[in-house]
Amino acid sequence: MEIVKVENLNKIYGTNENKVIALDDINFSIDKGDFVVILGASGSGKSTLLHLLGGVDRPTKGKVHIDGVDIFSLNDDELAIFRRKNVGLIYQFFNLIPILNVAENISLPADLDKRNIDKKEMDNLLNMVGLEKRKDHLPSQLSGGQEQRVAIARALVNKPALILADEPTGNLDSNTTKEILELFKMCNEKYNQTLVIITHNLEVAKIAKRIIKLKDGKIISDERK
Amino acid sequence: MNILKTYIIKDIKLNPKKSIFSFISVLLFTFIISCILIISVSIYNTFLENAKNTNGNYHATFFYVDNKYKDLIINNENIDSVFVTSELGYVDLEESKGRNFLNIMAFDDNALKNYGLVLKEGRKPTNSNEIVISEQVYLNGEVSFKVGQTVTFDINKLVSKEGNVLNQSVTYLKSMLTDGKIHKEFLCTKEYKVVGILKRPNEIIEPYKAAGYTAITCLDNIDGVASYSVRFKSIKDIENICDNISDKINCTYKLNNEVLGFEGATNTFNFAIFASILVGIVIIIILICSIVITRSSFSMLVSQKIKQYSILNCIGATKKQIKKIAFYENLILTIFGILFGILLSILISYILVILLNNYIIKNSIYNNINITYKLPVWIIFLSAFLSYITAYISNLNSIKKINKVTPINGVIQNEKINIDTKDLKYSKVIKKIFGIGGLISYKNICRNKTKYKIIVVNLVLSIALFIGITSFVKYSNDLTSKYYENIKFNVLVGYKTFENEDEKFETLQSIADMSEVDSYTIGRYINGVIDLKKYVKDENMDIYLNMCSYSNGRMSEAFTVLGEDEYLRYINSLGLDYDTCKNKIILVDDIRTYVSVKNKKIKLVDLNVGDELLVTLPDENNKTINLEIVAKTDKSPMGFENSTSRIGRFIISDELLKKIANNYRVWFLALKTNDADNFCKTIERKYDILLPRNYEAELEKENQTKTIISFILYGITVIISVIGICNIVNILSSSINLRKKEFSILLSIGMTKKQFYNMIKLESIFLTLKSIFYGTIFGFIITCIIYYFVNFIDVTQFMFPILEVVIISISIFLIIYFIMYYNLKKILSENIIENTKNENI
Repeated sequence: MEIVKVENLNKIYGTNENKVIALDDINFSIDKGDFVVILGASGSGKSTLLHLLGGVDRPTKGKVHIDGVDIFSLNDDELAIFRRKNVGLIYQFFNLIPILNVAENISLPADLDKRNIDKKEMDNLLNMVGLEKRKDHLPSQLSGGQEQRVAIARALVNKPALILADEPTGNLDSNTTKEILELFKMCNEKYNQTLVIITHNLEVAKIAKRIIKLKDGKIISDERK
Repeated sequence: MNILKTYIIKDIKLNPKKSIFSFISVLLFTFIISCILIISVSIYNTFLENAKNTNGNYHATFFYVDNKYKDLIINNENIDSVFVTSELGYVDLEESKGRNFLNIMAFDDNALKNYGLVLKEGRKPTNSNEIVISEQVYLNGEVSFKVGQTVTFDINKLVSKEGNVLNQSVTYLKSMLTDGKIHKEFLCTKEYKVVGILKRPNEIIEPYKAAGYTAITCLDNIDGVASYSVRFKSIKDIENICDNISDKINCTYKLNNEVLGFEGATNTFNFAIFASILVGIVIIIILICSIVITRSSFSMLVSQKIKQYSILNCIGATKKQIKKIAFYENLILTIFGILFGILLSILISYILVILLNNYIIKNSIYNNINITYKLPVWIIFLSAFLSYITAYISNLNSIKKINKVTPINGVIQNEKINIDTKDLKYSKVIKKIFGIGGLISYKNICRNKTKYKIIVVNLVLSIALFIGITSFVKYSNDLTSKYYENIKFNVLVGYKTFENEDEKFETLQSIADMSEVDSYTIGRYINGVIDLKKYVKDENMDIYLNMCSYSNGRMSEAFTVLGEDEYLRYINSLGLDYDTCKNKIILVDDIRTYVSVKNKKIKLVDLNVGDELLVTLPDENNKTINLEIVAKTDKSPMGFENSTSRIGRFIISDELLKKIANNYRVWFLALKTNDADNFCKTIERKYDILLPRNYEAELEKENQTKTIISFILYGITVIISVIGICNIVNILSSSINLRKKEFSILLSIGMTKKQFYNMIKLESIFLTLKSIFYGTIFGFIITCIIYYFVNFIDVTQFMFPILEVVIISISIFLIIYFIMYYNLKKILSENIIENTKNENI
């Protein structure tokens, strides 16, 4: 079942001699439960693609359908609401709210949706990411790997249709990277979560089921394992 | 919304540095508004109570009302309260060196309490057998009464030839009795116990021109006529109401303008409205300045949190939810700022009133006034309301910023750097002169135009206000010093009534002959009618003819004599000799010789040395005489300095006056004495009929008033500047912190600390120059406006406070430099690599 459909997606920055075509007429789709890695060198447009899939940026041209919804036909508020229910975003530099503790950071999307998370659900999430003993800690009291786990838990709290991760292990050491990748694998296999990960790390690419390669804003290959 | 409330409270608690400047801004402007209101109300109430205590707590007095009409006043629906006074009659004071009589008045209880009577000794009467007497009986009449003394008075009425009973409102001359114009009629003999001595009562009770000094007993019942002093329920349209009453009961009335002015009645000097407008204008200026300054403070607060808000947006918070967070965060700061601002203002204004009373007012000419601290509840609500509105308006724009950033750009802080190439036209020149550091400073200012514009606006506001107030103070000082330094006298003696001009002149001469007097002039004049048409320009002829009070273009002018001594002194100072001048005119024509037509000052007549005037003397049976102008000068003789004239002043010698006229009029006595204060008190005591004016005391009063006003104005400017500086500290500190990564990169490439400090020095110079440039322009405009209005009061030269501009330029540069230096020093001591990776969360 198709969960993501991208049609004629274009993103251009700047004008005239400063014009940069970040994405050039991208078309593809992703099925539910798929684990996709988007590979590409620096400047290939992979981050731009991810941001557009997450609706945190708007394209110059083209459409993105997530779970049947053309997300760019929504206004900003509708898009934000759609995002918190249907998309989980994970960043290279974690982007946690520094003044909220672990539990509060995790529950943030649910709270924004005015949905209370009961203790059992919170405990499950914390257990899943191995942070049950750090529930009340602030981000500044966590290691990089722990912070990324919080970001993953936060991305999962509303059980979104799609999880997007932008270089999630880019800021982590190799051991921690392995742990995080295991977590992703578990989310995908156990919970049938659709995952799209941006990376230039081939180790990450190994665990994916499908690899899309980008170069100069175009898809140059799309391989399924 | 629980998590968002948690977020708001935690953010304020854990990031106090970010919020403190906004909190301080709100606190300061709430403090200043509340302080101004509290002190204004306290001063206003003090002045009102003072007016009531001095002049009486009533609105109008209806005089000598027939008994049959008393109910029309007492039961009038417009009247709130009434007190009654009655004149019982006159008692002879045979030994008196001043007035001939003691006027016995009867006051009811309300009148005794509310008529502004001040006891010097003893107490007020409690029944109609007790009496209090005015101190003037002793001070002026030299007739002594003691407290406790029992006196027996033969009370008379004074009746005119026509059968009218004289009362205190009639101008009394001693000749009226001696010439038989009035006679005494015996009424009764009454014994009184003197229970108190009064300080000289006010003009209503003891008019200067009246026959008798005042003695007051209690009113038993109202027989015959009585005067009714009333307080109305509403003072709106008070004159019409009084006219209606006085028409019905056929009497005269007088308004208590001093009290009505403070209570805000129209048609009188409306102190209440004047003061309210003044305070209102000051508060509006403060509100506008506060909005301008605080806007940027809130805006900075939001800017610093754009990344946080963008992360929330990425996670799924709507813009509405984010705006709510920003709004409530600012609301909490506003509420606490208002609360602490009001508490601080209550404390500080209380201390200020104590300081004002004990250190400024006590040692000033206003030392009879003691400001009573007053804090009506409405001030707290009004201050809170005005402050809330100010903070709300300041906040509006900052929230709109949230709309402008896409979520991801806010997160990665990928603010589009917009520099128009036009703005960089000086970059080559700047790089050549100041090097790479200067270029980076210049580009940074161009890049962050909005932020630096805010700093410049804050500074321009403070500079313009400072220049404006300095100009105001300078012009005030100039007006006062010019006015007072010109005059050669320090006491001017006016008068009330004399029997005739000769008696007036003799009395003034006897004062001038006193040993305490160093120099004097007794101004006398005769009226002369002259035709000046041939000396008037064609374009001014209509104005001249309109001014002529006689037919055929002839006007009446005064020909003035100064007294022999002063005349001699005067002509010597002009380098003239007596024989040349004695039968001719000296014309005084200076900067104050003009006619005002539609706010323009016009020189109407052009008279010169050698011109002959044919003068007709209407008081001498229209005798005519030719008088030549022997000299023309811009120096005024003693007593005439600072006085304006239409076509100039004509000075003649005493000898010439005696030759041409038998009749003259006495103007004034102007004199110079060592101790003006004591001299005036002596004159007042000795001569009931004279009004000495102490110019030294007036100058002192003006200077002290100006000092107080300057203190208040500079105080307000300082507080507005403090709010501005808080804001500038906020902007510059956060701006530098946001550029941590940039600075660290520069350091890692190889920029030295010295080069860094030079870079911020240049940024400070750029900011200072821009602020000074615009601030000086606005300050100049304010100065021009003040100069325009000052010229309505007196002609003066244009002045601009250049030295103060230099001082403030240096101060601003130092403030900006040190703020940036302090913040930069912190960053330079931190780890370069950590800062290059730092995402500025």
